[in-house]
Parts: sequence; structure tokens; C-alpha cells
Amino acid sequence: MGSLSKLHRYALFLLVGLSGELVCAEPPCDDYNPNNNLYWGDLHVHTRYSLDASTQDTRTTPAQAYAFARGAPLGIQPWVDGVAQRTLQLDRPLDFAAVTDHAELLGEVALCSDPDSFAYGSLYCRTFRDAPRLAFFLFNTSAARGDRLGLCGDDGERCRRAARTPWQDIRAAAEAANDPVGCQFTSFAAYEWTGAGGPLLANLHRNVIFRNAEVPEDLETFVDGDGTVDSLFRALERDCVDSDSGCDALVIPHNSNLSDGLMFPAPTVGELDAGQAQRRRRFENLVEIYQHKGASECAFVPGTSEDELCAFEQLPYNTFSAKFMPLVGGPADADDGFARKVLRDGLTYNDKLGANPFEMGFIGSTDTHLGAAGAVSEIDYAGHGGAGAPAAKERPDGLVDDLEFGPGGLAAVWAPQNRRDDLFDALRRREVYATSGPRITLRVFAGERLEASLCEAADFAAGGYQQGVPMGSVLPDSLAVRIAVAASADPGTMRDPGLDLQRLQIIKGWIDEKGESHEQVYEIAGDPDNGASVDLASCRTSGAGFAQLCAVWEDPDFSSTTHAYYYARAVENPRCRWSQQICIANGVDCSNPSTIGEGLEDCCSESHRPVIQERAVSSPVWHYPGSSTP
Amino acid sequence: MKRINRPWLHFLLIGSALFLLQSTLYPPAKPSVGPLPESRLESLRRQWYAMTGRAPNEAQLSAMINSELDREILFREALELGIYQVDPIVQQRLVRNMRFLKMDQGRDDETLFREALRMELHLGDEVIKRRLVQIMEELLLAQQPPAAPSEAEIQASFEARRDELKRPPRYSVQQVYLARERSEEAQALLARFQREQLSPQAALEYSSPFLPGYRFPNSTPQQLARQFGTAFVVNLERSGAQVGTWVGPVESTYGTHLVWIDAIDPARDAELEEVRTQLLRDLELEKRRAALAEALASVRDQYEVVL
Repeated sequence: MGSLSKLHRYALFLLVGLSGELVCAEPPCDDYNPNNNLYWGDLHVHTRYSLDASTQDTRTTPAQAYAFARGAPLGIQPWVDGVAQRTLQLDRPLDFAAVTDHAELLGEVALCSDPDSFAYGSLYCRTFRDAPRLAFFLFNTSAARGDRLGLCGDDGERCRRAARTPWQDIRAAAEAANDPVGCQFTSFAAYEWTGAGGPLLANLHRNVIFRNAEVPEDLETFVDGDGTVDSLFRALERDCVDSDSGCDALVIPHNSNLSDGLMFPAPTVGELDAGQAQRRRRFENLVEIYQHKGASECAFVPGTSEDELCAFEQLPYNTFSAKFMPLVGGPADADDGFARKVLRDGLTYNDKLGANPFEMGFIGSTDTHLGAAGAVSEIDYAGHGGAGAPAAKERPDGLVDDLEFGPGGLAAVWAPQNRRDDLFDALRRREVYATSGPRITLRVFAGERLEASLCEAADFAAGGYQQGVPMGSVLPDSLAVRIAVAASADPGTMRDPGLDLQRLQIIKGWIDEKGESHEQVYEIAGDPDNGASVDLASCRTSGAGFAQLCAVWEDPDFSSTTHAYYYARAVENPRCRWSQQICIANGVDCSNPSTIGEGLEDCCSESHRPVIQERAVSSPVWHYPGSSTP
Repeated sequence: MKRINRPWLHFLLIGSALFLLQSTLYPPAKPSVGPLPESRLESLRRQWYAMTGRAPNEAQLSAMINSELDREILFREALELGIYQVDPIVQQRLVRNMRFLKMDQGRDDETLFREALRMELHLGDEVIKRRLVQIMEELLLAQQPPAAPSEAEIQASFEARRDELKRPPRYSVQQVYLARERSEEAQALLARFQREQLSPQAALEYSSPFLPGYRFPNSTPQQLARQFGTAFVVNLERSGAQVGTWVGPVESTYGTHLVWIDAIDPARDAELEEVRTQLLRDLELEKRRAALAEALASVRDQYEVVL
């Protein structure tokens, strides 16, 4: 047995496959598991090809970002004589990643960085190189208004052509990092579509993830389309999924918390028609709810909402414009694009149109602008990439980022093995979930036939698949809804030990007979008052929680005639947020003003929440009355 | 023979002979580089200190000085070739410097650039120097491109790096998990499993439910750590596990584990095909470095290097 290496077997398999009648398929990976393994990844990573990264002196190439994801060290700014002054390395490598540079301005950045380009000496490019902060503002506001810069020519053709070079580099890096033989790492060709809407330029950003190396030569960007995301979907149909080339794509929106409600138009506002709803269903199976710029699961509005856990990593504004110009926007409202409400709107659409445009599962990712894929530890957060602060200049003093930002989350995927098709299929069927960073294991099955003793069964997964459907599914028509949820705590690493779990919850959203939508949170396991706490002066945690939690829950108010969704949330014991760790490391004591050094003022600001409870949020399951799939 | 007897011809021949004689006996002095000014040495020391936290030793300092002098040589070669006159980065940098010095007075880029060259601003700018040195290196490499690594070289590097390329060990284990509140049962259960030589399948009925499962075939320490945490792996490796036996109690983040060892494949050497790409990539880099060093040496020969 030992004489035949894995690679030999692989080669043999190919030969047999090619010469025989059989359609050639790769032999399964070593860890192939029909009941699915858990894989961890980051599907939102920017490198130097993104203007807002390169203007902050990020020099990470796509190849380096993938190497970092696989465990290699990465040098980051500030740079002195070409030598990085900070180094990052993951304690635990990722299983998959996608570099998602902004398609808008890809060409512009390439033109302005290439001394041989005709535009290199233009005013725009000089600004890009000499006054990066100004350039960031000018380029982005210009792109956000849907205009190409003058240097692209009247029809934008020059920038489209120039964008092909970085796009080829990004694709080549994705091909090189992908490891379908060893099954140790999977990478995807991908990019970010950076759209904005409304007078406040509300965030409509989406990442486009391609299944394989079959991808369009030219990227559809916001400035190429008609200003709506529907033009992205139509372009992807035309250039990718309907082109018979084997091309396939997923679209994953993010930061709906900054969308002023425009990312997912409510049934009463920007009404989608049936065609638009179908295109959304075709591409948008997922939404990224945790990343550097806050959480988008749900909003806590004092006085009206009961779920205080929704205050977790909630941004204090509802658009990016409002961050800089507080008068034009305001704090976010539950209607501003938070997933829990969007999913309810989806049910309403489904009732009206027979198609749910927002049937979306959840993932987390980072949105790193340092190329530091998967660097989610609260211990050594290095910042969003300067995150608006001019990190290009020097090592930032004090807090490494704006107070409200954070290290972001991870995407967890249940797939039989670590290969592109397997992961992509799992993403599409939504058998995936989001964490705010920790590697909490979370499994969900649903169905009327689930046995109440499933948690005691030796093999939870085998029973779950036999008796029900996994997270992300649409339930077959049923007389009852039972949901089995099992979670285990992140084992952590030596340097950064994991925390116990505190509680397990189910969140249900539904519409009643009058057509009004509701939501409710159910505690199903664990103990919200387990007494676990964290000492703010040392960040030491105390009090035990649960290594594993499991429960089979039955909806007490189920009616087979209601449209409803259910998802599970596993919540950790409290720990210090990244910002508090830095405040303590710098000896800040808010009762003694002389200890509050430069750049650390925010440690003692009213909006500083020093303690967080990290969490995992499963993709929902849906129940529609009368039929198994709408 | 009349034709040879011309004074102008004698003049030419004798002149040439004298010229040849002179250049053989008294070759023109090579241009000299170095020594580095004390201020530059100091800044090299400081850079080293900033990066490593200690002062450079004699060998390190002399390596830094040599590479600094090499840069100086390449810089001069680049100036000789006039690259600075056509390189857009140099142009932009000089124009920027002029603006910074408030010497632009509304003049256009081209004029500012010419003015900066006239003032020899390009000779003192570190960014321009770095850029020109890089271009020279590329030019040198283009003249003497490194050969592709041969099969023999790949083989040799494979042999030389055997240790570093080692594949990690693989454990095939099965387990019985005891949740935290059951930890006191561990010793007695283990004794019983060992006494009764219980199969892992039969022992499973004593296990608390464990989400990741009970059988972990062919797993590297890293893969086991994903499921059980690092502490488990450290404890398991310390236990001196033997194939076909029960081992324990092994503590993890989650509780206590009694572990049955199906197989242990010790760490092994890599096979060539597993690491060929990696070897090739490193060899190419190495060859590039070597080719550059060789090219640099021949350029250095044309200079008098004063340390």
C-alpha cells in the first residue's frame, strides 16, 4: 500500500478515466466524508490591487494573500526601505479563501501604477501616488457616481483593457494556490462589485465568487451597469452562467448594515418584480453578516427591540456617508438592511410573487485590506488596513482601527471534501454558517420526523441527514417543525485558547394571517446566566460554560399555513474585545486621565463596548405553506 | 614599394604603436567607489539595529558595506546609460521634489524635470537611486538570463532538503469521550477497557456524544488539533501510544478521552513529485540570485573598490 503514493494513485485514476469509457473524475480526497466535514475560510480579502488598500500602502499580492491563508507569515505596513515593520501569521491556517479585489478602479490602479502606461503622468495618477487619501476620496466618489475617470477614455474601454492584467494575475494566483490533489486548500477566482445607491451613496457591495477557472475576461463593474444590482445579475447570466462555458458564479452581498435599506428593497419601498426576484434567487444564496465593518444579523434599537445580543458589533451609523457627515444619516434602524428583517421581507415577497428573493444563508469573512485572510483573533488585530487612518505613514499609535470596526468573521462550510466543486455546491445549498471569528462548530437539522433523542445518538450527523434536512434547506411540507442544533466550543490554540459556549438559541421569523411579519428568539440550551465573566482590568475570563450544547426543539406555535424561517445562534462566554486588549496593554485606566495616551482616547469613550460575546449563526431553514419549494 | 615610403603612413603606424604601448604599460585608472562616508555607515548600523534589536557584528557590517558599494556601482552604471532621462518614475519623483521645494512657479512638468536634472537633484534622492539600481539589475539579468533548473539539480536539492520536507506523522485513532462531569470515571473505565480488551466499537456505548465523531483515520497532528484542540494532541503524543492499545485518560478542551490506537504512520520523507513545484520555485529564485551576483561581479571588476 505504502508503495503507491497519493499522487501516483491520482495519476493512475486519470489514466484509467481517460482511456476507459468512464467519465473522468478525481479520486476522492483522503478525508472524504459523505456526512460532510467542516471547512473554514475567508471569502472577502483585498490585496494591493484594491485602490483603498494600495493607498494605505498595502503591498500584499494575491499570491501572498493565499500563502498567508495557508499559514505563511506576511509582512505588512509600515514599510521602511522595503522592509515590513509588522508581521502577521495565522495560528490556524484556513481551508479556503477568495481574493476579492474591487473590480471598479482595478484598471485605474493598474494604469496609475504602471510607469509604461499612457496615463501614468496624468493628474489623476499623480494624485493616486502622491496624495493617496485624496485619491481614495476622488476615485471612489467618482466611481460611486457611476462615472469612469477621464483617463479611461469616453467609453471606459482603456480602463477595461487595463483591468485585464490584474484580473489575470488574480486568477493565476487563485489557480496556483488551489490544491485539488492534496485537498489541503481551495481558492476561488473572485472580485468585488462595488455599487452604491441613493443620494447617500449607500452600500450595495457584493462579492462575486466563481466556481472554477472558467470566468469572464472582463469584469462587470458598477460603472458599466445601470446602477442597479440587477445589471450585475444580467451580465453574469450573459457572460457566465448562460454562456455554456462551464462558468458559474455566486453573488454574496455584505454590509447591508451600511445600505440604508437599499441593498434589499422592502416589499413596500422599492418593490422587486418577479424577474428581478428570480435573478436574486439564482445568484444571491448567501449574505455576509460579520466582517470588519460590523455585524448585519440584526439591530438593537433601545426601547423597541428585545434582543440585546443584537448590539454586538453594531455600527453607530447606517451609511458610510453618515460616518463622516453625521447630519445626513443616523444610527441604524432594524429596517436598514439587517438580515433578520430582510429575511422576513423575503417571506412577504414569497407570499406575493411566489418567489423569495431573499432566501439567503449566512457567512462571515474579514474584508481585510491588508491581504491578511482569516486574521480574526481579537488578540492581535492589525486593523482594517489603516481603515481610513493613514497607516501608510507610520505604525499607528494606540488603537489600530476606528473604534467601531473589528477583526471580522469566518465562513464555515459543511462539505464532503475540500475541493472547489464541493465547497461551491455547499455554498449554493447554504449548508454553511457565519461566525464572528471563533471556530465554533454548529450543526442544524430540521424536519417533523427528527427524534427527540438525536442529541444522545452516537452519530448526530448521520441521524440528522436520515431524519431531516440540514441548515440552508427549504423544509418539505410538514405538520410540525422540529429543529436539532448541536454546537461545540472553539478548541482554540495554545496562544489563543477557545472559550466555552454560554447558550444556544433559535430565531424564528414569520408572517401572520394579516400579512404582518414577526420575529422571536427562543432559548433552547445552555444558560444565559451562567455567571461567566471577564475582568476588564486584565481581560482574564472566569466561570465555566459548556464544551458542547445540543437540543432538539419543536416550534410550539407552528402552523402549516405560515411562511416562516428558523436559524440557530450559538453564543460564547464573554471576552475582551480587541480594543479593550489594546487599552489594557497600554495601561489605560479610565478613572485616571493621565493614563489615557495619544490615540487611546476612545478606550474611555461612551460608545466603547469593551466586552463581546462572539457567536456562530447558522443559515436558516424555511417553511412555505403547501409546497416543498416555491 | 614606393607606396610604403610615405611620411603620413609612418606617422600613423608609429603613432598607433606608441598608443598601444602606452595603454598596455599605463592602463587608464579604473573609476573608484568607496569608502562609504561615516554617516552612511552609521545609518546602516541603525537600520540593522531597528530590524534585529542588536548591533551588527563585523561580518554582518562588512556584508552590508559590500552590498551598499554594489548599489553605488549599479547606480553609476545607470547614470552612465542615462536611464534617469527616460524613466517616468524618476521624472515624477523629481517633479514632485521640485514642487515640494516650492520651485515649480507654475512651470510645466517637462521644464521642472529639466531644471531638476540641471540642479543634479537626481543624484541625491534615495527613491531614484533604488529605482535605477532595480532597473540595472533587470538589465544585467536580461543580458545573462539564468538557466532553468535541471533535473539533476532538482534531485540534488530534494536530497539536501530531505529533513525540512518531511511529511508529518499520521494517527488513526478511535475514542470514547467523557463529558467534563464524568471525568472521575476515566481511570476505572480505562482499566476495564484494557482488562477486557474491549474493541473500540464495543466501548462506544460508554461514550458521551461527541459532535465531531469517534473515528479519526489517517490524521496529522494538525488535523487532530482542529477537532480536539492543541492540548489533546500534546497529551496524546506524550502518552507514548502503542498501536492496538487503549491510551488515556487524554485531556482536551472538551473533557476526557480514552483513545484506541489503530495505527501510527511515523513522519516520513516526502516523495519528489509531492514537492517538485516547491523545489522548482526555490531553485529558480536561487539561480536568479546567483546570475545576478555573477553579473554584478563582472561589473565590479571594472571598478576600484575602496573599503
